[in-house]
Formats: sequence, structure tokens, C-alpha cells
Amino acid sequence: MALVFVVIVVVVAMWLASVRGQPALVVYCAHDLIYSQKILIEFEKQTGTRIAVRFDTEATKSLGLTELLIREKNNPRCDVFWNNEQLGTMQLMEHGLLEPYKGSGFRRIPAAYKELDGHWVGFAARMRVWIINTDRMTTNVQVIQDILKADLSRVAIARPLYGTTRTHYTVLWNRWGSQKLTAWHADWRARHINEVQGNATVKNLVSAGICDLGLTDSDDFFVAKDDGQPVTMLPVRLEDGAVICIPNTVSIIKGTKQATAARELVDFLLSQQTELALAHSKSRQIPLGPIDPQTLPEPVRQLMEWAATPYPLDSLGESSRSCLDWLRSEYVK
Amino acid sequence: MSLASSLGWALLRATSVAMVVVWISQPIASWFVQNRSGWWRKLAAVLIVAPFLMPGLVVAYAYYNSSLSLVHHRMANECLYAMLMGMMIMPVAVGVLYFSPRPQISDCARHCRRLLSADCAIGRARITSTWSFVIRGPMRTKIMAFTAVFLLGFQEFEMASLFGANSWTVWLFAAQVGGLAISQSLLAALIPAACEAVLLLLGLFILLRTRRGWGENLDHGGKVLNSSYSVAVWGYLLFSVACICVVPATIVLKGTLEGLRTLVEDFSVASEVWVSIVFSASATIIAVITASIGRYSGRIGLAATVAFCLPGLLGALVLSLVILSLFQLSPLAMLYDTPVPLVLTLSLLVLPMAMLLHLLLESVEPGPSIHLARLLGQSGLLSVRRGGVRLHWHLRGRVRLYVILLLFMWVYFDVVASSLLAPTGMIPATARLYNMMHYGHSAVLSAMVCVMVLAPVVLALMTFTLRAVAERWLVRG
Repeated sequence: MALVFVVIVVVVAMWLASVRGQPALVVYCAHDLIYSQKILIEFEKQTGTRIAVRFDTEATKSLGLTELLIREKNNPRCDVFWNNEQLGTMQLMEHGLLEPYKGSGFRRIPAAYKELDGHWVGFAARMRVWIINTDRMTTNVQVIQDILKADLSRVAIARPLYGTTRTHYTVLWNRWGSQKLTAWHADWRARHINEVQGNATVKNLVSAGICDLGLTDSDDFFVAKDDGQPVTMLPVRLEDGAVICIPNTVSIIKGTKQATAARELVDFLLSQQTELALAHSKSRQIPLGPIDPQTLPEPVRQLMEWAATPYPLDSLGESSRSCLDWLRSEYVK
Repeated sequence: MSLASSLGWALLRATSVAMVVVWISQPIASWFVQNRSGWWRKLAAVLIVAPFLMPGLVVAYAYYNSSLSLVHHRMANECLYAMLMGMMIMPVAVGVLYFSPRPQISDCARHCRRLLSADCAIGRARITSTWSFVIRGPMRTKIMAFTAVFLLGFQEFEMASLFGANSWTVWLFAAQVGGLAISQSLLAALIPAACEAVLLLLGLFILLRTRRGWGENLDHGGKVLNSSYSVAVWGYLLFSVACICVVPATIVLKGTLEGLRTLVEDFSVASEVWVSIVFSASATIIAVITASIGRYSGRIGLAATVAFCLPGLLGALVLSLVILSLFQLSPLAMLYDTPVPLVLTLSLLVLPMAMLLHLLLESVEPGPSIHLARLLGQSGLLSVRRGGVRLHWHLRGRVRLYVILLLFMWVYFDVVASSLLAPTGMIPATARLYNMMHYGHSAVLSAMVCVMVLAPVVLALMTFTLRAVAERWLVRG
């Protein structure tokens, strides 16, 4: 009995040690932990504000946290939502779950990448790209188009219900219409496209030469490149040459009890310092606010050139809802 | 893939794996029965148990690239997953067969019945007698082994997810975290839970009908194994340890050496490992205490404890969804984003194992000797007291501590409940590392996996050291 008592005391002490003093600023973060955690730790160091983070599940990127915020709407726990794409944040705004704020960060970001009343602001974008195994095929737009007309068993794509692939599908839904997109999707499946769990898996398949070509994000490509894999990338372009440039977005959740700290964090994430840090990180994210290009790594400058003609994502409101409904009917049955 | 087809695949796979595993486990269990002494027996025991102790998450991580290379060969990928899963669960079947008491019906009786029933018409009486012979004969233990293996295989999530295998657990987990309403998730979980419940009820029925004597006299079907069987058994043991333990350990350690420096610079995983330890320790203590109280509080207490064990037997995913829905109802909603739901879930998850091991230990422990050792430990003479305490430790305490550590490890490596129920800012290491494993192998991730696995080992060593210190203090006092 004495031993049992000692053990219970030890465990209670462990719990007390785990629960630290003042209430934390709760951040729901859909951006990859390996990039976002450093930024949040830096914020903690600079401001002394303690942060409690909930990251998304990799397999259900960004949709998971968006849906969780909607489920919690009557009793919100989150203070700040750092999303790795834009559509989910727009969906939260439609549900009336976001608190407007126009601080220094808001003023810094151009109008094309923010909601003008301050409900959300975009920053540090990524781009949809083709990742190509250079040992298996030549890097050529024509070659890609020829491959896409034939058997697709050596082409990979992430399941489009989640993350940036969902944004990609929504853009196509918006541009082509539902009939053409659904037919295109069925055709790709009939020609044995490899649908895998996420963009990282696409990257892994192409890097290993198991697939020759895949659709992924620019940050996933750079991970493979840094690992010395035989890959290169080309931007995904629509018929009119527009690229799909997907910003991270940050927003304050309505009902937050830590408004001051939340605003501090929003301004911090939207600052030049953070965008520069993310541009220099392994994800090579594209800054959207004004930054001297000479301070950016060369790959990011290349991405910024490509991003000169982005598809306007803020026009995707209705398409986002209907496309998501269709995707759910396809994948959650 | 739809839920229906995922469920179909999971049923087919779990049934196939369970049938093969039970078939292979019989000569292994027989070998243990027939080889009761010798150092090779202890070695074989270590080899048979080792794959079961290997965390599924680590095995899945190790074989992630192999699975990826089979993306164009789905059946081969499914077979690889089934084979690895079968090898990991095999020790459970061997354990059930080994510890099962002798059948209540002898081989002679079964043969006589076969001769007599050949002339009988098929009717209610024949069906009843056949059923009676099934649940009391050698088939009984095979059914129980099949039930245990089927349940473990059917509920498996971590390996299925990282392998991209078709499974209802992967479908439902992704649907739930992807935004499916909890009511719809529970509805979707109904059919898999019903499949499990049917088998569970059958297993419980047979268990309750089993005569006392678990661990006393062992059932080996009367067949004496020849040397070629022994070679086959050893061959299998070495092969399974190589596949499940050696290969994953090699991959993780190789990455650890390369990634250790980077990990030391950013050691944030330490806080998540700490959180895992705290959650696991709490759940283990609650389960062990509950199992003890249940065992010693009479029939009603025992029945209540057995009833508490049933939710855990349905698996982490079903249990987590039920707990999640309960803590979204208004009386409990205030505890929703706190540690309470996760601790409760982990406790319920490990309780069946705690109860089973508790009952098993009681049946094999030498009761009178333990009582005598306890009396010696209360002696007025220091030397006698010291001897009694040490004897008590060797007879009872050491094994009980192993059991507690086993339960701790079992719940420590949980992914499903941790991912669904962990409060914000207290994410266990397994949930974080599971997410990162979707990115594939990396040196830093391997180093993190190594830290995650070694942490409970270090904790176990510290526990044994503290125990030795406590023993000295108790003896002196």
C-alpha cells in the first residue's frame, strides 16, 4: 500500500509539473510542425506569452482543424488559427467564427492576399508544382502533357479532400465547372493515377523513382531537393498561364479571451521577420509583403517570378462549398 | 474506398491472419509444453515475446519505404502488412494455447462420439452435442486464440495507416479528424463494433465455461513433436524476430546516429515524451488499481470490473469515439479539452489486459510460499526480515512490476486515442511522431523514434533502482 501511495504521489507531482502557470494562448496550426514550431517558439521568447499549440493530423491536413473549429463554435477554445491554405479560413469567416483585426501585419500585406475587413490575412505562400524525377524523365512541359494523355500509373497525386490539393481541385472546379472536373477526375482514376495520403507521400514516390511525376507543393519539393534526390519542379499552370499560389492564413477566433496576445501573434506572423524566416527555412515560402528580394534565397526569388500571375483564390467561395460537398461524396462514403 | 469495402477487407484480412496464426502457433505452444527446462527454453520465450513488445508504430515506420515501393502492387502491399501484423500478434495465440487448461473432453471421448454420431440424424440434439464438444474440446482453445488474434488484427490502425492498407480503422479515423460529425462517426463504428462484440461474446462465453486451471496443465493436443518440428519452430522464431525487431531497430538506430546532433539542438520532442509518460503512468495506475479492487471485492465487484473491461476490448478507435461523444455532452463538456478524456480512455484500453494478467498471475503464483515470505518480512529479526522481503520480491513483486511495465508500454505507444483526445498543448509523442512519419524516413525522425522508445526503458531501469532503494529502507524500518 505504501508503494502504491508513493507512486500516486509521484504521478500527481508529474501532472503538476506538466501544467504550467498562466493560461496559454491557444493556437490551432495546420502548417507543418517542422516549420511552424520554430516561429511560435520565437514568438514565445520575444513576448513571454506562453503558447499551447494543436497541430493538424497529416492525413487530413487543414480540413481537420477547420472542421474542429466549426464543431467548437459554441464553446471556442482556440484563440488564433494558423492555416496552411485559404479556403478553410474563408469557410470559417462564412460561419461567422472570425474576429476582424487590422494591425500592423494587416497593413503590410497587399489587398490581393487578405480579407479587407481584417477577418483573415495571407502570408508566406506556397505554390502547386509538378515534381519530376530527373532520372526518369526530362523536365519539359510538353513531356508532362504527353504523359498526362496516356497511362497515369507512374503519376501521383494526394487525395484531393484535404489541404492544398483540395484548393487545386477547387480552382479547377471554379475554372472548368463541376461536370468537366468530375469527368476529368474519373478519367484520371480510370487511367490508374496513384492517389496517396498526402503531398509528402507524392514527394517520396517521385523521389524514389516509384513514380515519375507528381502534383505536390513547393515546400515538399524542396525537402526532396535538400535530401539530394534527383528531382526538379515546374509550376502548375492553368490554360491562361495562371499559377496556383496558396498563402498561409492567420485569423483570430471570435470569442477569444486573450485578444491582446492574439493580436500580438497575428502581427508577429505577418511581420517581415516571420516571412523572411519562412523564406529562409526549408519550406522556402514566398513572402507576400514587401521584402528586399536580395535578402531572399534564389529559389524563393524564382518562385516569386512564377507567382507573378496567381489565380485569384478569393473568388472561390461558392466553388469551395460545392467542390467540398462533391469530394466528400466521393471519399467519405 | 468506401467504409463498406474497407470493412470487408479488414474482416477478410483479420480472419485470414487469425486462421494462419492459430495454425502456426500450435506447434510453437506444443514445443514449449514439451521443453520445460533448459536455457534454450528461456531463449525461445524471449524470442516469441519480443515481436509482441515491439511497437507497431516503429515497425510501420521501418517498413514505410518498402510499402511505398509496392504502390503499384496493392496485393503485395496488403500481404506484407498482413504478414508483419501476423508475426506481431503470434505471441498472443501462443500464450493462449500455452496457458489454456486441458480440454474437459479427452481424445478417446471425442473419437467415441465421432463413431456414434455418424449414425445419428442431423437434428437439434446432434447440433447441441456438437456445440458442447466444440466448447469443451480442443477446439475451445483454438477458438479463444482465434478470437484474441482476430480482435487485435481487426482493430489495428498504425501499421494500416502508414502502409496505406485498406482498413475500416484508417477510413474512420481520417473521416472523424477530417470533420465527420461525431454522431455519424459512431454510426459508422457500429458495424465493426458489432463484429467485434459477436466474437467477444463467444470468447467470453467459452472463457466462463472453462474449468479452473489456467496455466496448470497444458493443452498440446497429445502430439509429440519430432526434431523437424523443433527446427521449424526455431526457424520461425528467428525469422519473426529478425523481421519485427532486428530490421526496424537497425533502421531506426542507423538514422539515430545521423540525426542525433540535429535532435540535440532542437530537443522539443522531450516535452512530448514527458507528456506521454505522464498520461501512460496515470492510466496504468488506474487500471492496475481497478483490476486489484475488482478481483478482491467479491462477485459483484468482479462482475463490474469485467463490465468495465468490455469497452477496451472493442479497440482504441471505437472507445475513443464513444468517449469523445460523451465529453461533448453538456455535463461533461467542461472537461472536454482537459487530460481527463484521454486518461479515462487509456485506462479503459489497458484494463482488460491488466485484469487478464492479474488473473493469470494469481493462477500461477505459489500462494502459500508468498504468504510465508510475507510473514518472514514482518519478523523482528533484521536478517530474517531482509530475507523475507527479498523472497517476496522474487516470488511476487518482480513479476508484478514486469506486468505494470508491460501495461505501461502498451498504453504508451497508443496513437489513436492520443490523436483524438489529447488536450491542446499536451500532445503525446506518439501522436506527433505518427504525423511526421507520413513524410517518410529521415535521420532526425529516426532519432526521435529512438528517444521515444528508449524513454520508457530508462524509466523501467530507474524504477528497478528505486525499488532496490525502497527495499533497503523498508527492511531497515
